[in-house]
Amino acid sequence: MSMEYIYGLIAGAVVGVIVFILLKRYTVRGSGIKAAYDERQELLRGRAYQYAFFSMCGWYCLQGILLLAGIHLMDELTGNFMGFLIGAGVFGITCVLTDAYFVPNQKQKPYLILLSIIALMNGFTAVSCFLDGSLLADHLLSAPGSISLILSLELAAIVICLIVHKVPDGDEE
Amino acid sequence: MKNLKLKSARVAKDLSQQELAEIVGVSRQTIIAIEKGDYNPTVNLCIAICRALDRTLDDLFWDGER
Repeated sequence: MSMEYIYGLIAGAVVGVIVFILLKRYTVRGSGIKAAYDERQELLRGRAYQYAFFSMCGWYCLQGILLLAGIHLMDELTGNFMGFLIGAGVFGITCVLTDAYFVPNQKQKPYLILLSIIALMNGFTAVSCFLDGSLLADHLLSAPGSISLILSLELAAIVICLIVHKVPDGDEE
Repeated sequence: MKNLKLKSARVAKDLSQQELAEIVGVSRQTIIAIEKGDYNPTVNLCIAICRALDRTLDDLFWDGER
């Protein structure tokens, strides 16, 4: 593994941690409010974890069956990441649809903007990999372009769900 | 089954769903779900709601017709 790759990985992790801390600190309305999910949200998030786990299991079973049948759609790294991304996507979308994604009093706009930016960045990476021909190697979806493509699509799906499912402020139901 | 008792008690107290949610420390969607009968709250949350609305558990959550 080259030093450039390691430096890039560390820089990415540091940026991620800083963004996470800033979001946690400045996106809850009102001072002194404990940012925690309420009991209904905890229950539904637990259910979402179940769905995510079984989706991931389903993907790995399907991947195994396809490999045994000699059908290769993507390289090994992409296939393994795909399971993780499917699980994360199912979890995120289930939480959004059940209003268990954000803690009470949390501002949604910063998260929407951040998720959109990450989706776009990964989309650009996928497009550039497609243009330089590295997205498909030997007719197989290949990392890292393939992972960026899947992550971009997944985050776009979550952003769309967040926008479509948004409960209007102040309206009684 | 919709919890109309809770809704009427909240309206009588002149509280919106958001205001009640903030008093008891849950999301507005949770109050909506309780009023619509989509979620059965724990006893702790029921007590917090009763305290916020100055009602008893019987007043808001006991279905005497069953």
